[in-house]
Amino acid sequence: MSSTEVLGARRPVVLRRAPSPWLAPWRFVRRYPLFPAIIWGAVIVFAIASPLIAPADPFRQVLTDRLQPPAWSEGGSMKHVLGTDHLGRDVFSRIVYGSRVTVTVVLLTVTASAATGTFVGMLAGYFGGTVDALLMRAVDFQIALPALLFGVMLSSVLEPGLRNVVVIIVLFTWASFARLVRAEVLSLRERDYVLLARAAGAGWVRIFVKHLFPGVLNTVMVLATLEVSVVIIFESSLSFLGLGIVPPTVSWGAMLAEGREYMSVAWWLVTIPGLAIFSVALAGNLFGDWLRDTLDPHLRRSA
Amino acid sequence: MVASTRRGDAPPAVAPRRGDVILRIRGLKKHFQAHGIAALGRRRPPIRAVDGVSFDIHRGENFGLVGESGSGKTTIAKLVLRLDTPTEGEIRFEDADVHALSGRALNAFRKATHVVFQDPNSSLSPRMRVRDIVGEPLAVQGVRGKALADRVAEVLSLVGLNPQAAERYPHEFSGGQRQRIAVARAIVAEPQLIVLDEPVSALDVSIRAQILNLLRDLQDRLHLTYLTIAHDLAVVYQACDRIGVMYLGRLVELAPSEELYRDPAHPYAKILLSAIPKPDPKLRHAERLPLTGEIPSPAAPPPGCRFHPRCPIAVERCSVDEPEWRELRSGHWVACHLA
Repeated sequence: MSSTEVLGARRPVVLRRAPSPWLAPWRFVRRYPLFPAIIWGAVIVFAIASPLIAPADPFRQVLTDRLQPPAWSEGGSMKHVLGTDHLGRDVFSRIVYGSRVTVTVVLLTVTASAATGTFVGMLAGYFGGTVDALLMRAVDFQIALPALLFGVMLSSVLEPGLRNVVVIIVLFTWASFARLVRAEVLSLRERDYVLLARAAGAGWVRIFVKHLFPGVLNTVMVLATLEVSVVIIFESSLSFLGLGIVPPTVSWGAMLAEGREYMSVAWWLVTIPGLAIFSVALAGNLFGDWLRDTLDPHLRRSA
Repeated sequence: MVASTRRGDAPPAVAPRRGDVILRIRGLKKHFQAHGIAALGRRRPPIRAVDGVSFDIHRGENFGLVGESGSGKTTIAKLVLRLDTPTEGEIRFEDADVHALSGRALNAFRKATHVVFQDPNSSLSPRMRVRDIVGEPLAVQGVRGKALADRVAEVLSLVGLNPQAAERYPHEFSGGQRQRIAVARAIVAEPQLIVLDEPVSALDVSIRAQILNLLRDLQDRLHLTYLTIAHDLAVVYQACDRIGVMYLGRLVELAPSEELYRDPAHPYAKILLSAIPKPDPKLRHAERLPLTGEIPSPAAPPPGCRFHPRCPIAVERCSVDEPEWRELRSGHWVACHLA
C-alpha cells in the first residue's frame, strides 16, 4: 500500500475478508498432511508394537467364536472389536500383525527400487549414447510387461514368500524411477556447475555423488512416496492370489483372499482388510502430493 | 565504462607480449548433426558451429574472441577445455594434443586449465558450500583436510572475499561476489590457462570494472594466460592484448587490440567497432555504421564470403570466392577480398 502512495496513484483498496475461524481446522488439514500422518503413524506403531496392541493372539483359533461380526453390528461383542474369521481368529489382531508385512515390504521394495532406478537413470542420462539406448530399452521392456501376469508367472517358478514378493515388486517398480531420473539428469548434466566439475577433471563417480544426486533427490523422494501405494496394492494382490506372503504369516492381501469365500455371510472379512489397504495406499498418495507441492519452489506459498 | 585500463598507463602494446605459444589451434571444426525425429526422412545438413578456425595464444597474454551469438565462440571454449570433441582439427596445449590426452597427462591438463562462465547463478551449485565449490578442482586432485581449507581461504582473500565466506552458500552473496567465488574456483589449482566465457556480461555495469580489474591483477600476480570470450567488443578491447573477431564459425580478423581498434580491416570489425560508445567528445559524432539483417543459419552458410549478404561494401566476387585468411601486416590477419 505504501508503494502506491509513493507513486501517487491511489487505487481502491481491496478489502480481504478476514479468514473465518470456523474454517481454521480445514485450512490446517489442507496445509499439513494430517490424514497421511495419522494413518501411517498408526501403521508404523502397529508394526513395531504388535504384541502390545493386539488384544488377542492372531493365530489362535477358537472355533466356537467363529464368524462373529464387529462390535457395532448385531451379534457383535467388545471381545472382538472387528469380529472374527472363519477359524475364530480375532480380525483386529490380525490387521495389527498384518501391518508388519506391509511396512517391511514397503521399506524393502521402495528403497531397493528407488536405489536401482536412480542409479540406472543417472547412468543413462549422464553417459547418453549407447549406454542410454541399452538401459532405456530395458526400461521400455519392463514397462511393457503386464506386471501382475508376469508376477504370477515368476512366483510360480520361485517359491512364494517375503523374499519372492520383494524381488518381484522391485523388478516392476525400478523402471519408473529410472525414467524420471534420466530425464532430470539430461538437464542437470548441461548445467554450468557440472561442466565446471568436468573441466576440473572430476570423474563420473564424483559428479554423480556431488552434483547429480543432490539434484534428483527431491524428485526421487516424491516418486518414492507415490510408489508406496503401488507397492502395497501389488503386495496385496500377490498375497490375495496366494503367490506372495503365505500362511501362517498374516498379510492383509491374504486375509482378503481367505475372507472371499465367506463374503456373503461375513462382510467384515473382506471389508476390513480392504479398507486397511485402501486407506494406507490413499495416505501414501496424499503424502506424495503434499511432498511434491512442498518441495517444488514454484508452488511454495509465501507463508 | 571500464575505469582504468592497461592501455591507459602503459605505451600501446602493438606487438603481443613475448611468450612461447601455450595454446595452438589449427583448422578447428565442430559440426553438430541432428539425430532422432529431427533427422527422420532426409539427412539434414550439419550445424557448422565452428568451421575452420586457427590461432595461437601466447603465454601470459589475454586473447579475446568476439562475435555475435551463434558465431561459435562458446563452442571453441568447450573444445579447448575438452568438454566436447572436435569434428576436425587440432588443439595443442603446451605442444600436446588436448583431445589425445589420457591418464596422468589428462589430469595435468585438467589442473592447468580452468574456466569462468558467464552466469555465477548457474556455475555455482546451489547445494554446495563455498568451501566445497572453490575447493573442488583441488579435491579432484586428491587434496584433503587442512591443506585444502588453507588453500581455499588463501584464494578467497586473493579475490577479495572474507575467508569466512567458505562456510556459506552461494545464494547468500551478491552477483559480483558470486563471480568472485567463480574466479576463486578457477585459480585454486594454480592453472596456467583460464577461459573466461563472458566473464562480466551477466553482471551489473557498476560491478564489471571491479571484476575486470580483479582478473587483470590476478593475471599479473599469478602469470596467467587468458582466453576471453565476449560479445561486447568494448570489454574485450579494454581487457585483451590481441583480439580475434568471429563471424558464423570463422575468424574474419585477428590483430593486436590497439591496431584493431585504430585500423580495422574487415567491414564486420569496422561495424562492431563503430558501435562502441566513444569517450572522446570530438569523435562522438563519428559515423555509426549500420548492421542490417540477421546472422544466417550456420547450417546453410552463404557461399563465398560468409559476411557478404550483410556487407555494405560487398562486390560480386564476394558471393563466389571464399576470401583467403591472409596476413595483412605482421600479426594482423584478415579474411576479406577488399581489405
